[in-house]
Amino acid sequence: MIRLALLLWAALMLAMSASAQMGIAPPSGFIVAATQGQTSVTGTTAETNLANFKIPANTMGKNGHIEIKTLMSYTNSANNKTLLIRLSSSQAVGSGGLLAATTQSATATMQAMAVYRNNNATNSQIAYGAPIGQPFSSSTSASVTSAIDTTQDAWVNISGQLGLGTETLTLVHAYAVVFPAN
Amino acid sequence: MMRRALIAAVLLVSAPALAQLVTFPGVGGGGGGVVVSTTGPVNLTGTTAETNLASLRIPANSMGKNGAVEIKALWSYTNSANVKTLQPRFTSTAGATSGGVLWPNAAPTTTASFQMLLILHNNNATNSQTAFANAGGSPFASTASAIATSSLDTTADTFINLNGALALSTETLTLQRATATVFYAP
Repeated sequence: MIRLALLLWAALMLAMSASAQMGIAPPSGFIVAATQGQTSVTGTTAETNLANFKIPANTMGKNGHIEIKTLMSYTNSANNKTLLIRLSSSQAVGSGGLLAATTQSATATMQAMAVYRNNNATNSQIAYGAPIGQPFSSSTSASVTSAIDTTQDAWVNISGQLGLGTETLTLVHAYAVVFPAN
Repeated sequence: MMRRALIAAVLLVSAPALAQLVTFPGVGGGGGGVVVSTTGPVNLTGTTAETNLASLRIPANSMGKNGAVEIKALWSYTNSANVKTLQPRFTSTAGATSGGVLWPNAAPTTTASFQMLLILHNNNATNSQTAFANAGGSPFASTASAIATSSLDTTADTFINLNGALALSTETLTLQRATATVFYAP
């Protein structure tokens, strides 16, 4: 009986058309990291770290992904306010990493979303290249990639940058959810 | 007695059936998430009054001080020039048709379906919430509107009430499916 079942399963697998392989989530489920209270940048035009989420080693798997959602408010003016999200191998860096960003002006609040996907390897990532204010859209931008080793702790670093240092950008809330998949 | 039974039967037939719900406590394991979902479509027709179609219960203490709830809903409706109002309300009571407006309503007309994503953020306290002031059709965007706030106690049960209203009562608005996923964060 077991032999017959294995034979039928093998025949089914051979008969299936080639398509995307599906990763199976490990039983640990997802992991949530969230900010605790609001943080702001003002008084500088330098990129300033507002929050860091640790992505614990080995939580993503080869095909897992991270969704980061942010809610922010800022001075409503013609000057640029930029929110930058970087997937990095270290905490609170203000450069490098796998960057997802959005620049706003002449509005007051924004909700944004970034998605980092492991790309069939624990040290290969890919993300949509468009601004994170339009995460579901089409773009002429190429996807962006990185080679961060997620078998080690990785970091989602969120920072803000002002076009005019006397204005204010506030990260009201942000959370990251890791959806593991092998 | 017969008359009362007849009246009750008429009321039951004319009132839209509330969406049946299914709850999966602990979905997500490590994250301690909760998923609440409707289990089938609910129609609204025959009235112009705001009517509750689904009431998604957010269990007490499931959010924590900094957790979030993502509500996803798929609607369909008569494609006409008349307004169909899709109104979510975050309240402490199930089925509320007043109060609790964190998100502005969506008011589609000459389209046939609408998918929304709403996010409720606890704001470093179990009784303080923020939300992006958008009707959910463009959940990731910028706006000149201020962030919406509320102060419901999420250490008690709260409810995401998905309500509908028709400008022309002979038309139909259907809540096809709705899901709320709670992401706990202390």
